[in-house]
Amino acid sequence: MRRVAWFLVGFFVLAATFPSQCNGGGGSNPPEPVELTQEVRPVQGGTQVDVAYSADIDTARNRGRCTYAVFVRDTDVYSATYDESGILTAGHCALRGDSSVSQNLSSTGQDVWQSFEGDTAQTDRIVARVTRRTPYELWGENECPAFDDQGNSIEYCLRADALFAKLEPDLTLADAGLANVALSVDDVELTIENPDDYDRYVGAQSAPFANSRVYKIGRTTGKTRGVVVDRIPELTIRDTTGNLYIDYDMYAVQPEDHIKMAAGGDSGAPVLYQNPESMGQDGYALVGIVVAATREGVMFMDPWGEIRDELNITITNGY
Amino acid sequence: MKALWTLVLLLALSGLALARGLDDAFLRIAKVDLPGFAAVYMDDDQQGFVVAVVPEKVKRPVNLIRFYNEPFGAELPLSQEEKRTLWNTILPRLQGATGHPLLTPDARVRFVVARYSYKQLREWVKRIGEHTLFMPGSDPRKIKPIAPCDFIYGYGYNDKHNTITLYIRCSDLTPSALRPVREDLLAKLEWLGVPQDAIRFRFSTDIPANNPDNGGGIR
Repeated sequence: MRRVAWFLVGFFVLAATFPSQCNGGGGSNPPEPVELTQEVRPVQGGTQVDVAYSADIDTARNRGRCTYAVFVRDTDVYSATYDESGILTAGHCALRGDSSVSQNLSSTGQDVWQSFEGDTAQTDRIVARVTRRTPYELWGENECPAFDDQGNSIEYCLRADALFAKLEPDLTLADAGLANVALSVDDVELTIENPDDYDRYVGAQSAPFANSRVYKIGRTTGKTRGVVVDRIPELTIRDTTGNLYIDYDMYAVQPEDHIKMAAGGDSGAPVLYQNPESMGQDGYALVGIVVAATREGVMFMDPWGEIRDELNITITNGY
Repeated sequence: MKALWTLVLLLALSGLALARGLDDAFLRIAKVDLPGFAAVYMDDDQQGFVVAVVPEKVKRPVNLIRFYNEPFGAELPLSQEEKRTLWNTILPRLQGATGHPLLTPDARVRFVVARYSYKQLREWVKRIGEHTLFMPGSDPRKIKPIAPCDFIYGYGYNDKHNTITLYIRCSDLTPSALRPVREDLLAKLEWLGVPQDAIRFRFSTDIPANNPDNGGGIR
């Protein structure tokens, strides 16, 4: 009888302590929302970043103006930055025209700025540094096409056009969470859509479904919606230096309402898929990032699955 | 001991069922026995409820029929009477088999033909990739468009509509200029064994770019 009594006491003690251990420990709760000001950086994905073309050049004219997609975490156990957090944007944001293609595609260490309106000094606002680029093949290597008989060339081939930039040491995701710009706002102004529910995106999906409606948020054209019309095994693109390259396994997004889906400066922007209500979750899944567009406004995106595998990163949810 | 192993097995099975359930949240598939049809597939995505019906024995070209909710999809070339008959035949069976709340008699439904299987489509996509020139210039062994278009910068496929799309650069996008381009490419692709009704075209004045200086690019 006494054994049974002690068992029951033990059971109730465990039952009382278990929930608090699950919910309270480990620092997994998001930080309390605070007032968002212009000066708080970095802010949530879908906003502008400036990426230096080179690690040794930091003048304002030598920066690629892009959008960054989301916060991510390094999952490469062999990397010095393993488990550290950073941002994801397009790889060509760090291209420059005056070096060789291979230097251009492999260089790291460039500063990433996220400045605010009226911030003229800018150097104070370095939020990250380019840590890893997606692998590439030069023309003629493996399956990357070589010159044709008239000298026209595909210079290189990529499976995904993306880069991982580690957050500066004095920044943490908690800092970033303070300035979480909701991904579902209709423009890219610095506002919190709902301060009580700012963990807005629930994760990522390897690739979009055919015919699914998606939207992107970029620093130039803001929020635009479209339909995924095709999966594209090979697409030829012209990069910022004028070279042609092939990006494998992309998706084409046809804009709705006869507007352009994306424009200059939107590269790296998150492409999101709103979870259907049937999933029982209110949120958005990242399905890829913006890479290129035609003049007519059709947008081409690299799917998240390729980016994840090529960069060895994982998405960091919401804050 | 036997009871313990049974418990472990049950726990493992329930775990598998849970994982399977999560997958199915994205793509719900239900097989229903219908006379004359091999399977009925349903998925539930952002646009609404979709039903696909695969006839068991039909002659080419229609070997896959799909019912789509608004607002997407192309019309199946069936008469209203044929559609009504098809729908009235299938609907009660589907409701009985699945109990899906969205599958109501007043649901707005479109009929879409996807003429070719996904496997067949992938085979053609591979063939197009091997035999088409994806850079400006010339290679007599490779397919390329005639003027005013100069090269096919990409090709894609849509596994719901079961179509292949060629992305082509042209200096003139007027319909009269593009008509001979279409006809020429369709003939060349048919020679590869790709039927004309599987091909779509998307024309643009330049290839996609991520250079802001060329008017349409992104960076």
